[in-house]
Amino acid sequence: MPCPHSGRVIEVNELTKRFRSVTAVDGLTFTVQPGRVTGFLGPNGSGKSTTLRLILGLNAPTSGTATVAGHRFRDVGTGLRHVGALLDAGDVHRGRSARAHLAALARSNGISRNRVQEVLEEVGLAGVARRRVGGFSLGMRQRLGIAAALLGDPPVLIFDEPINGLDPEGIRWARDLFRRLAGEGRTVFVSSHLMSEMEHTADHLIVLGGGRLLADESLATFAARAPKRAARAQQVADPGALEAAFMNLTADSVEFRAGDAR
Amino acid sequence: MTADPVARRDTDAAGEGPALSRAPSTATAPIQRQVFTRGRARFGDLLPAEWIKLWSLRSTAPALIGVVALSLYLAHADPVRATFDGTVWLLPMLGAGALGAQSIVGEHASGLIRTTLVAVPDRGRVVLAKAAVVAAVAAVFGLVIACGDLAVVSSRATGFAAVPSLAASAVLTLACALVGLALGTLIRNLAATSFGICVVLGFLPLFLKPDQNRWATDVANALPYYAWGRLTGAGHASATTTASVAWGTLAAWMAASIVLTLTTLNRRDV
Repeated sequence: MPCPHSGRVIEVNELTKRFRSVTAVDGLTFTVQPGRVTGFLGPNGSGKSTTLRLILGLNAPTSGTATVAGHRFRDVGTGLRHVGALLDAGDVHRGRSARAHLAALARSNGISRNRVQEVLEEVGLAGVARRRVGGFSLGMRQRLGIAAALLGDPPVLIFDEPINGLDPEGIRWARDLFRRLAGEGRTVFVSSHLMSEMEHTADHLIVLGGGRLLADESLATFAARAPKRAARAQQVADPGALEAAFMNLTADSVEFRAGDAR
Repeated sequence: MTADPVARRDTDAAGEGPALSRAPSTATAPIQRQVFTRGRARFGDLLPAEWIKLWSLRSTAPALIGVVALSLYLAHADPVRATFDGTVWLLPMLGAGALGAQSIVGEHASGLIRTTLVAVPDRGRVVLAKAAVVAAVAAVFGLVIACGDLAVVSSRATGFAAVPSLAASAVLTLACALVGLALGTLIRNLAATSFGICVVLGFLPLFLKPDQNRWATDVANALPYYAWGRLTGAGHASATTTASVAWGTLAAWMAASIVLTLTTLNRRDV
């Protein structure tokens, strides 16, 4: 436990979440390490968002544990100091201005007012800070969500599908931001269903299918899974190879879910 | 939440000690800049946060002012000119209930509740801060209308004799706001919550009156509306209960509402 980086490690242990008859997350175990971008991949409905909600204490697990820095997140007094998270760009009241939204969040954690202006400038929303969020495009809301995640300058950052709705410039900006945050020694956990995006951003991949862990390995190792035909060059930079590896792996998961033992 | 082990650990990491060394690719400077105004956030920080949330919605102030104006106009237009017109007071009661409900239903409907609870994972603190802000605003709201009533109808007792009535009116709207908060937390849907508030705070006192049979009298006396009526002499003032029981009734509604809000939000996946 007394590892020097334990202050920013996300640990998921035998995590299971059932909603009535549906098992959304099934015996998941993995850790997310600091200093690198960890991609969280899986097809729609594979349990990514549920896992993130369990880590953040928004949902209670049926069994198992999820901790950040060795503690259940629900036991933390001031969240933004420890974890910044963008779960859904829509998790904002449409009637409030961007500035008021961030100001309330900042105040609740004892964060200075200057910091609100700082993050607004960082995500490029300073010019529209007084406008109501209801009039924002999805891309602008994603930026607002990223601003909220950055407010507390936290050592752990979690982003659920942050790229959706961003324009090409925004995607490049977000990619650089995630890499910079990881370069500063933070834990950066980014979910996506776009393998091609992860190729440019992630150092490490955690792949889910049907609520189960399919892969927990470096990007290079993952690329080596690509079927021969697609992985001709065996290069990490070949998006076709990664895409094929991803499709191959998750297709298997559907097969196993049907009751076949691995 | 006095102990915050994560905070302590981070403080260590920012100071000296072996925790300072981290990923080999990075410099040794602490990664967290000075963005916090103090060591760690306190409960006192949550109150202004909820205050910002309440008043940054454009509809809050006009709605409250509208209800005050309408209540005072109706009190003024009332031919009987009783100081506290019972039926008119259903209006601020429902208004206060809506105020309490909106503060939590708005968060559930938009999904903001998830953002809020990531920022402040301790749900009990969020509920108490919300309840405190909403209750304070509702109490002032009730007090303003009660004072306005006295000013509009100056024939009645004023001065110190009016103090218990003013206090009871402020406590009534406060209790109604907390009932709205509890129903909103339980139901989470604005239309259904509004209906619930109208039934509990509005329809029940019109339907059950304290001068009916024994059962109806007991239930009526346990409603905020008749407890307030007993204390102000408004509406169907009940002769079957004492002032202290009436105060106790209002207090019980407040306490029950807060307990219901706390337990509901604590148990729920959001």
